[in-house]
Amino acid sequence: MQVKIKFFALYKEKTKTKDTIIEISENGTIQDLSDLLIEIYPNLSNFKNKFIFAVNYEYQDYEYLLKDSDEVALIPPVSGGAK
Amino acid sequence: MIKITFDKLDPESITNLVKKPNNGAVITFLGTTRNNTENRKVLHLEYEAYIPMAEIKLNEIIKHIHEKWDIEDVFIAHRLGKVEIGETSLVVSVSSPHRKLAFDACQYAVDTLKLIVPIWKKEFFQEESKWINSSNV
Repeated sequence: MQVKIKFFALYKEKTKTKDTIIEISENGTIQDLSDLLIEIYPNLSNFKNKFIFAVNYEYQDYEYLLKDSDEVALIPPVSGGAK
Repeated sequence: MIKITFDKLDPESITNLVKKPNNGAVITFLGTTRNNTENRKVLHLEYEAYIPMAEIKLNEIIKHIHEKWDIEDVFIAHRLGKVEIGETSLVVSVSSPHRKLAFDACQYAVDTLKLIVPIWKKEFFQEESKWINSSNV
């Protein structure tokens, strides 16, 4: 199955990618996707422990089961507003 | 009400939108861009958002405020793109019959926004630029 993945801010710069489609096995989890992303984009490996994912606009944990056509976003630490 | 925009924010018109005749208090918080961070001169900032999710999360914050406090109205506006020093990047305006509720709800909105709304800030210095909260290795 395929999921759409979107990168933002720091991760968009590190991957030089705004969004892409990734092929992942049926019943793949966010953990599986995370491992795949590190393989495809070795530049991300330094941030692996900080990855936060959203699926279809909701934060999800690493056990979350992905479905075909999900929109997954790799979310950098947020910093809206001002300090 | 929420607004995510690349245009300049107008705090006065936002404040007027939440002000109602039965209010005793209207609190408007402005987040403005600072000219320094850790003793380094900041030239300008840029904000980026995952817009559809940011809109959902901002509406969740507003829904929670209405559930928790007796608040008449809330407006959260966030600016994106390049923002010059001293300009306003965030406006949170809250109206309520009583001031304490308005202060509490406004603080909750600003604090929660920074935790859950997917908006990122990049500071531009003379020689480099850096995404805030990201250890830029």
